[in-house]
Amino acid sequence: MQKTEGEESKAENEEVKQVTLMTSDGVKMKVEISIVYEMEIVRSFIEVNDADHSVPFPLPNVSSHTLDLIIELVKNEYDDEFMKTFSHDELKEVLVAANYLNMKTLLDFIATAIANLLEKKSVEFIRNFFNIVNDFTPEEEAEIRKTNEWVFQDLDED
Amino acid sequence: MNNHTLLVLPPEVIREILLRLPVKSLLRFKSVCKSWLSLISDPQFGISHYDLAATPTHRILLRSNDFYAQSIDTKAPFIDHEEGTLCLLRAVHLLLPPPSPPRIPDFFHFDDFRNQPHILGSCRGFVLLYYERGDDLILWNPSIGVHKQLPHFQYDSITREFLYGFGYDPSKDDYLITSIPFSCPFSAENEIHVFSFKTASWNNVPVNIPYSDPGNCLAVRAGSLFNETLHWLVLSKEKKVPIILAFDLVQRSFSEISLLDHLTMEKRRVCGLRVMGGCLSLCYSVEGSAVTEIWMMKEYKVQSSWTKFIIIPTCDFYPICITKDSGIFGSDMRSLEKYNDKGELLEHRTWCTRRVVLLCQSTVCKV
Repeated sequence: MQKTEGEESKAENEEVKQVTLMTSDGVKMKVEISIVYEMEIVRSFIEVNDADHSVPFPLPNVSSHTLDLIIELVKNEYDDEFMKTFSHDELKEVLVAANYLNMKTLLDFIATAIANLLEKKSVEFIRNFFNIVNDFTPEEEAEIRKTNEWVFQDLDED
Repeated sequence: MNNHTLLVLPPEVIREILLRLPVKSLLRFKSVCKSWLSLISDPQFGISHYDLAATPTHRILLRSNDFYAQSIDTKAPFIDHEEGTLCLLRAVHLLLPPPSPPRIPDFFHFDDFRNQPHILGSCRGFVLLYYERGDDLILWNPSIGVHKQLPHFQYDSITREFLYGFGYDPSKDDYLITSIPFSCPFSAENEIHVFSFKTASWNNVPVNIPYSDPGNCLAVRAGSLFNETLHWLVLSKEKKVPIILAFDLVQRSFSEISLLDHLTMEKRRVCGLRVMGGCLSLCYSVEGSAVTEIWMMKEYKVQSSWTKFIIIPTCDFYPICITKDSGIFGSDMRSLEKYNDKGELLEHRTWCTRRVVLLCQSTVCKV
């Protein structure tokens, strides 16, 4: 993905149909308008304001690395093989960004991928994956587990 | 960029993941933390999870005795090779909700059998149980153990009616029981009774029902639910041929669905109706041979779309569902059986199966 530090002329942007986005780490990225249109939050702004596409649209919650991953996913039409190269942190970052940018197809794709990854995992794995602190007392937790013992069978190795 | 910051996901994003998990995982993840427990137990979450149907899982449910039902994963092998032959079917035992005490003290214990619940049907993860003695109707979600009891249902005995069924009307968010009594032989006028769980009352709709019992097993009397419509196999009095009677729970109206013509005639006798693989399906016994043919209506209400799906080399076969490799899971009342797509027996287990319902698991708890 092309990254530009300086201003581009308006005429050139219209020709290639790109929108400049500014990520949380201050990187300006020129993104094809077809990809930007999947981002409802940006699309609605552009459509309402008929904005000058050369003025960077700020995305304070999305890093340049995450935006790169999102652009590649959309370009590759949500390729499973590409997604499988993601780390757990990358998966979570893309999910949070998809939610923030209101990208429905991407949100469904990545949430499904994470659900498939977690389906057969243990409770301990889940807590680690999401950095969740167990706020049950041992008695409370034992009580909840007791109601459905069968659901703790056939799990993946952590 | 610092890759080691601990990213905490907002609750709405966690919800998106949980909505796409099967019920078994959700039940396990109730013990992750308090906020997950309350999210997974939330009534609205249960409905959204069911409606999204990202990972529907089916289990069959059968009653094992007065106190327990058994639930069996239709996808799991009959014998678990990891744990040896002792682990047959991996049946999960579920404590049935208790009936209310009988209204009239039971001095004579001749009718102990009446304490056993009938499993009348299943819909959206709920199972409808009926206890004759206390006249109780209980709507029960076995996956989450939630139940709602309607004592003194005030209906003589629903299981002795001509036709009955259990379903859901999405337009009113209401669970319904439909009961059609045997018609008087001298009159075609009749009434259909529709019970609403929301209003806890019966509605009687006068209706012309020129049908009779096709004259075989009792299981036919329980309606097969497909979308918002209940279906029964009946005999048209006028034409003297078996047809499918459909009752739309939203419109509250009847329609007829024709069987394939040449089948209604010679050498084949229709013996069962099911909903499988998103289609109405019929079982036929074939005269002079010990096989069961299963036909599917590939397009709903399109008579020409009836297609022979599989031939099972046994009579009295009762299909339950289609397996993921296009085979079939069913029973012959003595055992549970799995066949592949060519009709070859893959697995079987002796298992007393009188009334079996297919349960689509859900965490829906709001009735």
